[in-house]
Amino acid sequence: MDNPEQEIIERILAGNPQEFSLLVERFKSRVFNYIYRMINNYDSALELSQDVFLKSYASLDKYDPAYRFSTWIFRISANTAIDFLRKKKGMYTSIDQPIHYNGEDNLYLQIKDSGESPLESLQQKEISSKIEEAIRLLPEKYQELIILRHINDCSYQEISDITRLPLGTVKNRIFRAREALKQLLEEKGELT
Amino acid sequence: MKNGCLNEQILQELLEGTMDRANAGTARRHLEGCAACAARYKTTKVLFTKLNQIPRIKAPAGFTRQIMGRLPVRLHFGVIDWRRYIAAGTALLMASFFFLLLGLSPYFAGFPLSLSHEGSAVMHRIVSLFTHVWDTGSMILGKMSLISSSAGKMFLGAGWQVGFFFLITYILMGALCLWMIWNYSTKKQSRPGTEIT
Repeated sequence: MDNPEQEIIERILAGNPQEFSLLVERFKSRVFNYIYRMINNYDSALELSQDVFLKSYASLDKYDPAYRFSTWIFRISANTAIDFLRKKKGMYTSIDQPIHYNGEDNLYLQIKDSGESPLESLQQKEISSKIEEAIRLLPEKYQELIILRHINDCSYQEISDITRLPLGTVKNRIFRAREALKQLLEEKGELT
Repeated sequence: MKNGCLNEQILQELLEGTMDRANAGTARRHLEGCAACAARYKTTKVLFTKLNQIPRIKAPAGFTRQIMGRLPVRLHFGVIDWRRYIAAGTALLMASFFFLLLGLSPYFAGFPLSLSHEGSAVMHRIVSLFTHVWDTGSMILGKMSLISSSAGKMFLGAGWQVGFFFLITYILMGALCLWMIWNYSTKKQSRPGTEIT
């Protein structure tokens, strides 16, 4: 597998920690962007993104070159973001099943309390597009996939590797997430 | 698909270009003749456009520098921090030597161990060796023996078994010390990391 970061990693492991800055430069915006989109808080995203790089540095000798480095660092990012969101789990409330699918893997939209004041919330809404707001209404596991696919431009296979979900499940969830988004935005007249 | 119309999944696959050529051709021909599907296709296309137009946020200036400044200070990967383990090993050896003296303290205090009758020949040799060290003795050993002799009075009446117990302890601790040094010399330095699940 083509792995352009392997050479840099080998140099770091051989005793050149300053080479790590090359990896940070290469992935900082994608990692920060992903985490910011997941947790929707700039300061926390900044802190968590730094944690992601520090964790990856600390675990660099455990990196498996069979995977792309981007896959590995996004997996750390996903775990970090999800851990952060789980700590705020009590702040999520499901609303009355506006979108429902049969089977165990139902999709319910959520109202998220970001912990912001009403003023902060209003300011945040002003700088967010309707599509971003709609994505935030999706459950985490759907949000994550949409962000990876459409904002981080990951392939389905990469998403499958990052999330460790079967490829079919990834495709199915992304399809359903888009369908939910489409329904939401159509109701608001945003897709005309 | 109902009445030959395209379902949402097909519309999405068509837009993503993940459908095989034959099916994609069939779907496109259907779209040309079906206003309802064409309208849905257009809506889905708008959704895709909006999703792909979400602005990418850049990491702030100084991000890399901040991270590099927070990298843990330590010897680089694959190099052993010998100072740490030598210090720990020395401390262990000193502690175990103290226990040895403590164990032999009844002997030093003038209570014979009667090894010729009860102890093994090996034990006798080891004790003789340390007795020789004691006899040729240094100031340090002399001072330590005073301390250990005092402590050894606690074991009066316990006989050579106490010394034997501490000798075994000494051997075990020495073995542990050697194991530690061997273990860390053949492995990479362990680092705090996050188990990625």
